Amino acid sequence: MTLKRSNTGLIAGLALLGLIVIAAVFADVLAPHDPLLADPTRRDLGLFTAGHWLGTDELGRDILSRLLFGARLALLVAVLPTVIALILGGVIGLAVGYAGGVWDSATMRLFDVMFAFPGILLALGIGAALGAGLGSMVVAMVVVTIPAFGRVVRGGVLAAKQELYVEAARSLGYNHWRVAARHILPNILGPIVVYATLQTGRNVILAASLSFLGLGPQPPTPDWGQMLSTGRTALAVAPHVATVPGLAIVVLAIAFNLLGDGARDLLDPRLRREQP
Amino acid sequence: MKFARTRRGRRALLFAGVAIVMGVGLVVYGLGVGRRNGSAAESVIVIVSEATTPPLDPHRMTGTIGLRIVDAIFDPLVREDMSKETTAAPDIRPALAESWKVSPDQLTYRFTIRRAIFHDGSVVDAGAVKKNFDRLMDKRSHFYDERAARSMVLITALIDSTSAPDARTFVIRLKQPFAGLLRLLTDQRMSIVSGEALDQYKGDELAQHPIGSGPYRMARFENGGQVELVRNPDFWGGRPKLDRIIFRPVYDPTTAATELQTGQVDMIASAGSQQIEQLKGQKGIAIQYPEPANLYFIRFNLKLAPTDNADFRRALNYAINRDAISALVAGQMTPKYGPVPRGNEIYEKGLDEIYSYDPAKAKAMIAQSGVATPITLKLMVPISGPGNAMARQVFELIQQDLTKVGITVEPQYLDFTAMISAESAGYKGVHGSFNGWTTGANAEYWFERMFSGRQQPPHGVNRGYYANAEVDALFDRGRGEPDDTKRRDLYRAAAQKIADDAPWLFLYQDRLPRLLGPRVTGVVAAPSIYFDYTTLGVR
Repeated sequence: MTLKRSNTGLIAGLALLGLIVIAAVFADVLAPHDPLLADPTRRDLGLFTAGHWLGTDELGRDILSRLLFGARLALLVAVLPTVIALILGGVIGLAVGYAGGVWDSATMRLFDVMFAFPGILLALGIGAALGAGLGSMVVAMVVVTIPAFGRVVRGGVLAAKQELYVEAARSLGYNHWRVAARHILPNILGPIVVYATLQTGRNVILAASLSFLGLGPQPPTPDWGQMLSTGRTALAVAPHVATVPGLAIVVLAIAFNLLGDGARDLLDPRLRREQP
Repeated sequence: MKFARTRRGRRALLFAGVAIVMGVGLVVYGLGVGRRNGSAAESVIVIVSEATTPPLDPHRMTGTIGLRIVDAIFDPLVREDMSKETTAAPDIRPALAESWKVSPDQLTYRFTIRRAIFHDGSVVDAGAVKKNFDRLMDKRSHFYDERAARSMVLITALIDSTSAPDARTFVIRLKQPFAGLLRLLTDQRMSIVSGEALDQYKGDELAQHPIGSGPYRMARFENGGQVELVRNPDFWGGRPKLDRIIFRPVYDPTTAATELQTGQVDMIASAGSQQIEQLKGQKGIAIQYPEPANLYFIRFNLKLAPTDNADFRRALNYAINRDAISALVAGQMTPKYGPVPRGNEIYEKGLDEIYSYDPAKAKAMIAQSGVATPITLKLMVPISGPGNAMARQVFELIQQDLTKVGITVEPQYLDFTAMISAESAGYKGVHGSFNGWTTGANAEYWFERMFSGRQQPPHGVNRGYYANAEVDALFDRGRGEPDDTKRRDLYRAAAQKIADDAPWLFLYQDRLPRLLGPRVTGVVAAPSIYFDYTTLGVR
């Protein structure tokens, strides 16, 4: 297989994500300082200060260290809600898509109602009702993203239901669950994986937004969205305090998007067939 | 339309559409800017409100945001003179009372009421003033308002009776001599509301109709939004200089500072250190340091374990590195290790140095107090409000210091006005709140409001339920003491006991600077968070 443009994206995405994962895993080793240790006598130091290469924030905490530890949280709140929403939405989509009829219509109308709300607004409402914190943020993100996963899976199921291999499986007398899980699901996995990867990228932004608005992990936890939010107060005096975590969020979101796009090119059978 | 069907035509139409939208947008923006600056003849000042505007009923109010607006709409009987930059307490000058006489036994105050009219056209007379006092202290009067009365009980508890022998004379008779009465009457919360408004509006309704006699009257109040005042042409003190004053809510300190820089707003009445750093040296921006007496603190809930334990509270007073907070705000505040702010009449060195920063000692004292660590404290923290621009960051430092001595903090971050309303009924289910309080020079007013056992909710603002019979006895003796030196010593003794009981975690005194845009005139750095609305003008 020659290295095509699509693969370049995939590899770039993987490389970026790999770097962030390494940063997150080895934060303890890599971080030059305690990410929580505030020392106001060293506040608002600029970029490339010796010992504080990305400067310090308004409380004198090392931005690089906070960024490294924040990577853990950033990955967690991007991936975890995706996985949970994928499982829950996937099961719902698979079940109602396969069953069809009233269950299908009722679930889809419910999803329509949830789609009608702007995602961030719904998440804010849920987060506000549950109280700020990491747990309620994840719950809010899961609730907001379930309908999309449900739909993607259901769409795949509806199409696959018509295929001959499904009919063949049914004719062999397999029960519904076996047909759905063993025969339909593996065949529609491609688009689901692609969607999940892209959704993870969107979750990076959603999590950062919720955390920016104060619904995420509470201070002093190093969290990118929150660093952006509090850094904003020093925007005029020390612009890097907000800009650096902002860039980190962008990079992580881009990494997941490249990965998602690459995965689509790789997994989409139509695109594959076009290859010589 | 054939044109629209071709690809080129569609593109041209799209372009035209975008151009029209942008054009309309520009015009609307232009109109907005025009409206902000007013016509050439109109003089407007925009003041930043740092949190949600509460209902504007002066007698029921706490919190600087609302009182700052009340100050422009209403007059009390007497005011503090804000025209001089002094370090001592401002002089007292006439307001709705044009003069007063105190009887030789110091018990009777006869006020001569000024000839003036309220914004609704009704006449200011002793009868209207009496209705206000009846609202606060006469349970049999149909003007009586329970919530207003509770809020002002510190002042009204001193008063035996009031009367209005004629239209121009209002008499207050005290239970015992009290030299600080006039100072207490300058409180914005002792503002005189129109008698007709009191006839007409009861309970919560009154706040919807803030009708006073001050230099500016209410024009528009969008609930939770902007407050717009217009000149009161009939003001008794001469023609106010401005056509309009707008109080615009800008909760984000950076946005507020940027708006001041670009001329969207004209004044930040209580600025944070980062705002000062952002605007320092900017052309035309003036920084004033009124340095009013104030204290920032964590007020503990004395009804809930473990903050009901005095040894534990004392220990916490050793746990906080106030110098680090000072460094955080570029020296804009002074560390405080006791309950007496500078600017209070009993202030002297030593009284604010009762505790120190000694985490090892704090740890040992917590162990001795019998409170097992790690333990969690739930504390409310304001994220907006006057003097709170850096509250979140300051609190993070406090949190860090408390963690070091084995205390996990569970902060609840709230809008300033929301927090005040949550704590005003007294703490429930939380161990306290991080707050600041600005006060005058008067010892009674500061110490009794904050620490008297009789000032617990629902009667007063002693929201942590502190009570010490010895302290209250000292207050009783101090209040009746005609000799100033002795009186101050009694309050000093009380302050010493309060410091020892540590109902608060004493933190710091903020310089509370004021940022003024290039257009503002007539604001002087008198030692108060308020300023004189009659001299406020534009260049």
